[in-house]
Amino acid sequence: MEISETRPKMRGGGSLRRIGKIPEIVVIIPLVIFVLFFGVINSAMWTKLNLLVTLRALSYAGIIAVGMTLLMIVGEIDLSVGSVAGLCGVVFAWLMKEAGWSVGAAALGGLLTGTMTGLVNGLMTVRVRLPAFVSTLSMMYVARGINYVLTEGYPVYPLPDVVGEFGAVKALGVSWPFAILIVLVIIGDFLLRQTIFGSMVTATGGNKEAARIAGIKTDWVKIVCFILTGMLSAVAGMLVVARIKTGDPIIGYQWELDVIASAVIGGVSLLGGTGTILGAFFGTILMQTIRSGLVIIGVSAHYQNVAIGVILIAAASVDVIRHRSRRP
Amino acid sequence: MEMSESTPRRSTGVVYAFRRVLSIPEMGVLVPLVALLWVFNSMDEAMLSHDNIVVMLRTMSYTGIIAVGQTLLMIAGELDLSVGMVAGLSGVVSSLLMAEHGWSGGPALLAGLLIGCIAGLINGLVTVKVGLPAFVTTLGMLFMARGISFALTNGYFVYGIADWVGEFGTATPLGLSWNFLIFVALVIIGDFILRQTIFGSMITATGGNKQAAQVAGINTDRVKIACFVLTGILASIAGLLVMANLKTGDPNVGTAWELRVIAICVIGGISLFGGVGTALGTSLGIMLMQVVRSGLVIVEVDINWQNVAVGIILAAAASVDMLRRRAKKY
Repeated sequence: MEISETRPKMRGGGSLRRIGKIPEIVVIIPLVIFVLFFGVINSAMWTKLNLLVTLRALSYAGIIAVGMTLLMIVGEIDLSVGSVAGLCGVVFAWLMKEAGWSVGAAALGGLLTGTMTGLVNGLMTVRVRLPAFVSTLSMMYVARGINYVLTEGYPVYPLPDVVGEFGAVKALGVSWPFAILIVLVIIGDFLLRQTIFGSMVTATGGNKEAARIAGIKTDWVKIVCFILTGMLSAVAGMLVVARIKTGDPIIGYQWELDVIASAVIGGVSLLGGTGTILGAFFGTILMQTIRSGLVIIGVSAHYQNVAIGVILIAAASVDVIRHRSRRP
Repeated sequence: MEMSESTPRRSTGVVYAFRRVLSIPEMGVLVPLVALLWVFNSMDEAMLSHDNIVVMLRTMSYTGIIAVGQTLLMIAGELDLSVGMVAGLSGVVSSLLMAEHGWSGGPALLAGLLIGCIAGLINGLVTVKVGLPAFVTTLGMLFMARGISFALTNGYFVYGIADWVGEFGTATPLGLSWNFLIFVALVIIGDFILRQTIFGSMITATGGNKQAAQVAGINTDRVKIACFVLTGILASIAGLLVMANLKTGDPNVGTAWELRVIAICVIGGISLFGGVGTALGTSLGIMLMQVVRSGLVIVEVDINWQNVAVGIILAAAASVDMLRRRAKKY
């Protein structure tokens, strides 16, 4: 390097470079490309109706993904989110129909159920020291089982009408689930980036021992993340119940895979320490865009899963390669 | 210790033998298994009836066959979530070749096995060479296999497989089924590979401490890829056996198998961290799960409690595993 080059020259297009540095760009660019691609083939993609439908469809997984992102960044995982969502939805419906509770009280009951499952998951993983994979896997089985025992396999129906209004009513033109998702994404992102708790989460996930030595109560941080994930699963499950006005025990079946895939596509690392809520949010949108897009251009619905699988591996590979190239 | 105790006294025969027996790792599964069988049988004698035993053995064979492969893979330190869908895809492809393209049974079955081989190879290469966590790779493979299965069949069953294949699937050699016999054979082979062959020791070494294994000269990449391929092939075998038994190709086959297989392995004593476990332990784990499921049905407990029971047993078995690991360190 010459002595005269002490001050780095600012190249033209500096703002473009800065955009390139946003970590979520890896998801946003494919998202834009896909929206354009599908829309060119069939402009139904760009209609407002399609937009609203897509946004509502992805909201349930998206809500859970906010919690799952925090959990993955902290270095854990939760396979029970789908079953817990279903269980909380059923509890919500059951409390209204069989126990005659009001909507609000029943919702609190459902939320409490999610909180407790999250707590159990957290304690099992952190205190008993089971790998999160195992403890949440067992919770998945237990929650699904209790769900079906409670309902004997039948949907809880009918529910008071006021519930259905909440599920379908449009606040400011979008649906409640999506509105809630946006709020959660904003809160979650702020939590992760700007609060001390958020930095504790990232530290614990990046290097647990170092975090502990630095004085962070890693056990407590992890348990809180598990509880948050459980609560958000409850919210998602109850929103579905509100929409279909039925407490159907099948709700949530295999949601966990979709949620985890969305997060990974959005740049959240399974190994912990890396990722953003916005990333997971865009990952969820990307997944749903691809699913809806394929339907709109007339591709067999079954190829959706193939596409998701390919994209999941591609996105994760990009993430891994980027990590590797950062090291000297 | 007093000086006069210079010659250590040996425990008496019975106590010594008892302790030796208890320290066998599979005891953690075998004892609950026997206990549960006894409990369920005393509640309803149908539990140990000939018919019930045959049904239990046949049902558990499918996940059992896959579990043998998953055991090797988990001991090597990886896991495979795609096994269920790969099983389904193998059955679908094989049945389609027979029903719509007129292939005869033999080549069609081979094609099915090839599917598993290819899937395993892809899983292995991406996990090991690209460096993705196995969870992600095999999750992606799960989505792909499921998608391809359904796309090929449009969600419908495939009828019209070769006759002899269907007969094989429903035959009752020695009053049991081919599924179970193949399962037993695979457990024996798997256990032998793991305990007695050099490849088996390479697997355990790779899973126990990958760096150390590499330093010792083991090609850990190749070992892991081989385990992935084996798991894929075994998944195919299971899927083909289901196809033979049902006499149809069903794209729904294999749904939710992956977690069940992993649960069985953990219950059987395989550590999720790698390096620990035996094929025998896995097979006992499978039997335990099956006994619990069948037992609950026979004593007429609500079928949905099965899932709760599985969940609790999984957590209990894993906790026991954790305690034993911690105890070994001190």
